[in-house]
Amino acid sequence: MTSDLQQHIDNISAVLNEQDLVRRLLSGELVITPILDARRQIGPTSIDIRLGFDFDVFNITKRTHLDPLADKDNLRAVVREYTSKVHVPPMGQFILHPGEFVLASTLEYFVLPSTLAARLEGRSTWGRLGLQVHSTAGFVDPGFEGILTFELQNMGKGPLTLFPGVRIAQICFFTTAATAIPYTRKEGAKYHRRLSSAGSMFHEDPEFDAIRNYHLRVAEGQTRFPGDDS
Amino acid sequence: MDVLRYACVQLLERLVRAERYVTVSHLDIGTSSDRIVAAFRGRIDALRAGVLEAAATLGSPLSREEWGSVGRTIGRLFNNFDELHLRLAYIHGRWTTPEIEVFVRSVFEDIAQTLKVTAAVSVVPSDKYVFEEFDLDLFLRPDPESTPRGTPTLFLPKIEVDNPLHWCSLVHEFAHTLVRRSAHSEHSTVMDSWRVEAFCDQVALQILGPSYVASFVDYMLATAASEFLEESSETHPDPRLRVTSMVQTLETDEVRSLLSCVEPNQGMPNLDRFFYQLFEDRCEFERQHLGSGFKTDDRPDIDVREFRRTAVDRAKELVPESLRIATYFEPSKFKFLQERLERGIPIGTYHENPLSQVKARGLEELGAIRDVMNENGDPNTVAERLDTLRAFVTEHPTTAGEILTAGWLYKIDSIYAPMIEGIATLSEQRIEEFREKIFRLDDILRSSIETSYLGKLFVDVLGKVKMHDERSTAAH
Repeated sequence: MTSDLQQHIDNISAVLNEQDLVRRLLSGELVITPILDARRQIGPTSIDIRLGFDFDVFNITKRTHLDPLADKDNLRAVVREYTSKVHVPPMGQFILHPGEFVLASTLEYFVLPSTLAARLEGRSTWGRLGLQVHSTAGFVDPGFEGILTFELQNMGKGPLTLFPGVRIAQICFFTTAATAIPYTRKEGAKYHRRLSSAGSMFHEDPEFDAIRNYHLRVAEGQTRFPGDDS
Repeated sequence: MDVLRYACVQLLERLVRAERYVTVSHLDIGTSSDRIVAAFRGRIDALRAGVLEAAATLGSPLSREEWGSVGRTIGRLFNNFDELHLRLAYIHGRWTTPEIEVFVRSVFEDIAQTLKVTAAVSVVPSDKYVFEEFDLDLFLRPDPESTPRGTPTLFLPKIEVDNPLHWCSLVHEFAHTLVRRSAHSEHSTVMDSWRVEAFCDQVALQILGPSYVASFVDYMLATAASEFLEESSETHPDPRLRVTSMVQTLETDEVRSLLSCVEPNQGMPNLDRFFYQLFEDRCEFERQHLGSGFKTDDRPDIDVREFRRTAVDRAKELVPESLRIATYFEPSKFKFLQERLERGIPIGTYHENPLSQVKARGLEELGAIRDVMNENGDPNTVAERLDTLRAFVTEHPTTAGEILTAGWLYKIDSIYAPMIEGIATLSEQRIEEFREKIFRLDDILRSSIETSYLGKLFVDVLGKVKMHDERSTAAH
């Protein structure tokens, strides 16, 4: 098979199969580490990934809400206090109670080339127990580097006992023509090269600067909200 | 003079670590101690300014007197730093981290199992900038002489709790606890004490290889008073004898042929030689500029070779072969691990064979699978070949010795070397980058140690993952 033809096939395939995955891992084009047991982890079109050591649990006893209009530095501190890190060492356990929502990390560190995007999915083994591994943000941009953050939620009826290293999710990869703006160059990329789970940094989105300024002007009587006739 | 430039970078590293300690503690306790934290920050800033001022003079030619003057200034700054570290006692901080316990277990469990003793030791952050070990029962039991001692405790300087590169010393200190538990634990003569120190050095060396030399010398250079580098005491042989013995072990043992790979890129010799040279340069500097010197009378008349050999033999009796760095030290690994560190990727696992071999064989296997599939061949053949193919991308747990040796190499090569080179003209931005790199390396190494330990615990059930001793047998 000529390399041109191979290139063409690579470009039209939607989801990578096990051979494509292995080829990219071998060439170093895609890095996923550790892969402790490729025979069990690599499926037809996905790779099972494991739960890491770090969890972020929410401290809801001191805050009524996160006020996006607060001063940015102050908001950073509040957001930092809004979650607490829980580190679970190897063989330690983390109990996720019904309805509880926490952030967690993958054990694996990823380096995606600019030609691959990925999608995080649950494993049916855990889905049947009610474990959800992400609520909405399962997409990984080309060029992303770092561990991935799980948004774990127990939708089941009983508590779930989780252990670092357990395969709770899977990830599948999609080819794309090389993007000119991989995650590293994306304006406002906030979760790059992290080694543990990361809480939300919504306050770093520049839209909030505009919203904050507008509200400030309203408060100072310089303007009114659109449609506000009072 | 590189030894002074190195000392300036060491000081800067300690100051950024102290600053982080103060900052993290501040976040934990809220705002009630603002003034105390501000006072600490002020002191740290003042010391940093002192280091930068001393460093700035190192960019131009100096007279003999001027060298001596800069040397004394740096010595004073180290003393001031030690004082600052002691005062960290006023700030509430953490106990040690779970990662330290994982490190302790990953290194000590196998030894303890061999000796049929418990590996349970405690690691405690120390206000003094020292690495030491003693049994707390000595102080806490009402009658320590009549009760068995069972609270062996290892002390780690507060600011090094997050720095795995200085956890190396814990292995030396752990060996002390083993000596105390053994039948021959009395240190009735100076030589007995010295033999114990040499033995503990060799235990750490067998397990951690060159990373222990790096950690030991780095510590000695930063804390030792002038004469101390070449002076012995009743409890410890002189550091020079210890360093020389360790380097000789690495020279003469089977690891030497493999150590050529542990070579920083910046034209430096290999890792242990680099630190040995640094140590020698410092001693020479002390003699030339600060008037101290080696007092041969201090060292009892001993056969240095025999002294070292005995310690090595005893250490080898204790450390299972599978744990010795000589068993699993492979040049190809270090290239791979260093490349990963350069890219900021954790190194808790690695490919069994050199990546080029894995790649070639894997791609060959991949071609064969495609051929069978194109010809609508036997699905069982495809499945078998797929199994083989997947095995090529399975990674194996690294060891603590590998992780820390690769970590020291990366630190010297990629973090320290550029700082040493431009020490006379450091900008705030360079110091900020230095700080980020140091903390990133800490995080990567801690994560690698945990991942590697988890991988080892999974070995039995994951079948295909073999431990390093089996791999080594297969590789040779």
